[in-house]
Amino acid sequence: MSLDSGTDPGALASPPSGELAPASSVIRRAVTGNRLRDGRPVYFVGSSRWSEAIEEAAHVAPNAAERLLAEAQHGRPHPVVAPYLIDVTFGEGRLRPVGLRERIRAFGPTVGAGP
Amino acid sequence: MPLIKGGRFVADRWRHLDDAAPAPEGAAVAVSLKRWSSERDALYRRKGELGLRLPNDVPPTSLGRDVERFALVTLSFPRFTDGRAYSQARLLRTRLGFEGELRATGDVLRDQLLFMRRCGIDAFEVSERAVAENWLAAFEDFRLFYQPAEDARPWIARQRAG
Amino acid sequence: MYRYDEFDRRFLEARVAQYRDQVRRRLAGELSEDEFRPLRLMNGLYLQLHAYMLRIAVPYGTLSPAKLRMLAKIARRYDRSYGHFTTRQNIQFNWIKLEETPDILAELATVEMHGIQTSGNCIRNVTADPLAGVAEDEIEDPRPYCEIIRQWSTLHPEFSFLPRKFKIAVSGAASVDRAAVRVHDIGLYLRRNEAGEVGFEVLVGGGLGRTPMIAKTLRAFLPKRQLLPYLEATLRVYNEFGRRDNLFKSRIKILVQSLGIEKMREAVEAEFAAMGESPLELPAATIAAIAAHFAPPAYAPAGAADEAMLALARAGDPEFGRWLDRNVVTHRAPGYAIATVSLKPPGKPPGDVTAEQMELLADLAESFGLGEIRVTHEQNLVLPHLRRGDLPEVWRQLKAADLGHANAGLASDIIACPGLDYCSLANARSIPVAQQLSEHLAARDHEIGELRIKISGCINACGHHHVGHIGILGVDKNGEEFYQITIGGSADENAALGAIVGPAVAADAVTGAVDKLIDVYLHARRAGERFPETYRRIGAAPFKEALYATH
Repeated sequence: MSLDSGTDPGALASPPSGELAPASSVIRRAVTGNRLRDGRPVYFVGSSRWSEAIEEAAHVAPNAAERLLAEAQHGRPHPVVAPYLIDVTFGEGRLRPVGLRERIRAFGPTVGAGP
Repeated sequence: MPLIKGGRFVADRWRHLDDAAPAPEGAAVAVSLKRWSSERDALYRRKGELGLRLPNDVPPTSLGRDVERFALVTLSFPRFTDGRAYSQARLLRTRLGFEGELRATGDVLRDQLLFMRRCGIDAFEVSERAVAENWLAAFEDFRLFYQPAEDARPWIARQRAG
Repeated sequence: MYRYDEFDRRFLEARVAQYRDQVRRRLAGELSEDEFRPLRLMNGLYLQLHAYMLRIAVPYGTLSPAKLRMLAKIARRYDRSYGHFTTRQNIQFNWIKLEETPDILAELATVEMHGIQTSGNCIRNVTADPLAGVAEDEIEDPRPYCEIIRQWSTLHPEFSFLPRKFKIAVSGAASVDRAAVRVHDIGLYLRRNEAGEVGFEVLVGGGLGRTPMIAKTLRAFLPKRQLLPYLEATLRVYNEFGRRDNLFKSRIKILVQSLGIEKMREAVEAEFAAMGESPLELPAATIAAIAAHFAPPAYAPAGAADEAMLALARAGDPEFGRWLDRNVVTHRAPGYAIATVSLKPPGKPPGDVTAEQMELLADLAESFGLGEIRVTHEQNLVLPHLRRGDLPEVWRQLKAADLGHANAGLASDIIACPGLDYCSLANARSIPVAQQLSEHLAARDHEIGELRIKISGCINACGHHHVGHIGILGVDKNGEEFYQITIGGSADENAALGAIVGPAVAADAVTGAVDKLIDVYLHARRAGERFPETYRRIGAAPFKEALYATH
């Protein structure tokens, strides 16, 4: 799904159908934060929408990242605490965050829930 | 800025002078610590009430008996999380016996008002939000307290003793 | 244990109402996150990686069956059916929703529980020796003083915005320290002076974290009556002069270090003297009224039949015998025993308890334990009033619930913080390391004997790694998890900070490294020597060589 704002090819959220998924070395940027009411990690989708599923995150080329963050910060009262930018990349065609901490946020603790 | 005193919003009758501004006769003027230190005698000779702006990193006990000269001492909360002025307030009231107006300025927010009053602060310079958001109600958040402080409210030992 | 009176109940109701309104204002956007954060922290609510985390206070580690059952209910209704006991005797829930916290706090209030000041730059939960009131080696029960300090510090108007958090621990044992007193901001030992009067030795400036320090004696003997005024004087000096410019230099230990203990003492004693007669002084009647809540329960007389049954059970089941030897210690009341309930099943996350287990423990405390169960700062629980004759049945039920492991204080009894799996402060994971290590070491537990392994996922040291016999600190090296190992730490009366053995090791090398350190210890130890004693005798070199020397 694509962002409302503009026709900048860097702003496309997912590759046009029919093309190969970008290589995992391609770094894109997305916006995340914790949802205010329940603390769940959420990802900015666009149009003031946020999703718990990272696959739905809007992602942009690094040079468009600040604009994405600014757009994500619109809205009062804001439903998300302190949105920030993260690196994301593609692994096996799926959008994944870079780094262990963000992967844990996206996919949950690496240990079983409780004893 | 709205000023809370005596449980309501009041007008501020004080003039808060910077270091260069003249201090008119008869007016209630508050000056910086620096100005008071260098112009003490002139300020004392002037007719009119005198107030002091006390920075939050100056021990109130350094004022000594001079504290009796002030009808107002303003305390500073540069960020609401900087709690030094709570101790300053208590020392001014208990140790130095200060009986004038003790005013909180700076980052003064609704949820700290009761703590401030309990420490002996009796006037609060607050933001415009205070009116719309009814900050006065904050003084009644609690009527029961576990420890003695500078306000007259009963605390647990007296409550339990009956 | 302390029971609320009308004052306490109404206070808690007012607190819940205040918090409910603060949450309403936050959700409506009337409070910014910056304005709200200290307010929620002072009710124990953190925002972590996956959700909010609620830290509920367990004052000096004491729980009743009703409280434990409520915690089980909270776990089920508002979380994922388990809780985690912490190194400060509190309990944490990891999957909390902000919008539900006012209701959670309202429910907790019905059993005299709350999250007041379990976080924030204020005075935190006052912790105590988990064997308070039942250990044989006690001068006096510290818990009444913990309760007195708790009340005095609750919503203290002057000390709610300190430079940083403030932790107090109290111990009443004559010569041992089961409360890690020396690594607290203020530590209190009950002491007897030459005249035979009981008072406090007051220590100041201990703490872990980025710059760990052992506390120094501020006052060798403080009469009980002056406890609160003296604490007030110390907190006032800290509030005025503690650093606020640098988050890592804001604890009182830094102030003590920079002033030196003599100048610190001068400042506190001067303030204390200037306070003069204080309404905070504790008359004997006040102390007695609080202490009455902690009077020993009505113990039944010891029975010979109990001992016979115990001997039979021991003979019949070697596993029970091991638990008896390892987890049970002598009680001051004849015929009674104190049992440690291990929350460290090898291979499982340390310190976690399911709702079902909480309910079982509540039942056991009620049926066999005179209605009391305690939390230790090593993430275990203690049943402090068991009849010796009931031990076999209690153990049987514990074992059936995976709570009967005979590893109290052994290598597989590992302390670990939640780490990067849960905590937004962490640099590395700690639970998987604990799981792997405990599973591996369980087979060697009894060969090794007492060994305190402590794991932290970041320098904040919530896992107390600095005072582990073997300490493990997770660090981030270029995006990879590495672990720095320290040895020779101790949290007891011979408190000491562990020394780094060498460069951090990769995650998959931790178990092997710990094995080697243990081998050095086993090889070198003399009869009865625990790890810290062997380390002090032989030094770090043999350990370093075992880990890092290339052959």
